[in-house]
Amino acid sequence: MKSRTSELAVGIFVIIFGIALFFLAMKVSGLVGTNLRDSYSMTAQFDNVNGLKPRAKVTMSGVTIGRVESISLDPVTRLATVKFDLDGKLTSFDPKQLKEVQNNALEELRYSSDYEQADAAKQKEMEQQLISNMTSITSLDEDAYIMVATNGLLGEKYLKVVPGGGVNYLKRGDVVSNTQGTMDLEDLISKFITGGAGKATSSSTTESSTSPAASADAEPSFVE
Amino acid sequence: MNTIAWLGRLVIERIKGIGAASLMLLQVLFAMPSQGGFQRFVYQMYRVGVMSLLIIAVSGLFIGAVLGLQMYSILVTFGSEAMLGTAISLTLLRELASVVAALLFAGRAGSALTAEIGSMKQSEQLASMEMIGVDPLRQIVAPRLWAGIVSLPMLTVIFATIGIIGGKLVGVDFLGADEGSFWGGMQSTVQFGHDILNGTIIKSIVFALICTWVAVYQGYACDPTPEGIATSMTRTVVYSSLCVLGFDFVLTAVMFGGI
Repeated sequence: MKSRTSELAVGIFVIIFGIALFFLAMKVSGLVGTNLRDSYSMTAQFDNVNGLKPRAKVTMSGVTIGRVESISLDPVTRLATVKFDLDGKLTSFDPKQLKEVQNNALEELRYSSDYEQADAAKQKEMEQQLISNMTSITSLDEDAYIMVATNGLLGEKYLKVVPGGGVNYLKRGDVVSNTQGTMDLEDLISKFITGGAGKATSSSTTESSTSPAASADAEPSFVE
Repeated sequence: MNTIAWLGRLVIERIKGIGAASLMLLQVLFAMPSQGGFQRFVYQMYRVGVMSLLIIAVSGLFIGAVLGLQMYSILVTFGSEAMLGTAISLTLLRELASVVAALLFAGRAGSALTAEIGSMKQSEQLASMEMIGVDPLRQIVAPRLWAGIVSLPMLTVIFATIGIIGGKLVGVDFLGADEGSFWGGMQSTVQFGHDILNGTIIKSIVFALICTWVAVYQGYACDPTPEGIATSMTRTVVYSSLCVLGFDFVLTAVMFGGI
């Protein structure tokens, strides 16, 4: 009887251990808890991804839609190439929405000059080509840009997708071409101190790591 | 002259002790399992592992709670209490869980192992076993050693889990840190292979080997008098605590320090 109770207790001990390990794996490290449904990967190239780490989140309008898979350096362009996985459930249209998107695109096509000049057969062909092009689209349009953003003032870096207003949509596995890298606070401050002369500091890091928008903003206010 | 001789004797005796302990460990670890060995192993698991569960769970809860309290009050001063989950989980998984569980284990289970084997030796049970041709190493020491090696990693994982729950209880439920960023920050920082497998499980297997090895050797080699048993028990706790802390530094340096 004594050995029966001790065996029972050891069994319960092992079960508790299993639950604890499961908790650590799922809830604490998020091992399988990425729960990206129907995921696919896309890439983007940045001039600076300082602070971004693999497994960082990708958001659109504040909703997490994916995770950064890997970060590598393109030897030719010398840009950081970020590969990230997106959730197919959150970033694609359901059939009804797809119909609407296709109708919008057709509408757009009918107003274009190419379409109006073409004859009826050619028009038909163009329409069909448009529809067939839109089979595996995502809800990210071609004007959307992706930036390395910071969570709060000191928080971790993540990728933020800012949707644009285009009617052409990116396909799964495409490259997002509009990007903005990490905004370096040090560069902005050094620009402030040296009176907006981004070229005066002229170190190569300053040149390459600030976005053109930031320097354009900074310049007029400090030159005067 | 005498002091030099004393120093020499001291070193020789220490090295002899390490050698004897290593021989014993080899004999036990590579011994063929004896008849009914599994039942004895399960019973020792019950005595070593299950009976330590309560103290491990309670200390885990309170250590997690204290971590939550202190980290929150520091982090909130510069408005980054969203890092609370990350801080608690990394502290527990990389360092505290394995070390504190091993120290508690040395005090709770290690000293009991030493006392038990020591009093068996005192009442000449070990000697009479040898007389009838039963190897006491296989019969007595092996199940206890294996039970210790298996149960401490399990206790450590339970400790870490309860600690994180305790930290969540205080940080999120009492003090009002945000629950979403508590778990979210944790999940984006903690890596299963790097933090949990290395920091918690591999470390605790090493500590388990050290703690149980010291305990059974001290019991097996003790002076078979009441005083000798008492000295051995003290040594068990002191040696295993020191070894755990020392090895913790070495393991941390190798795993996380990039040496």
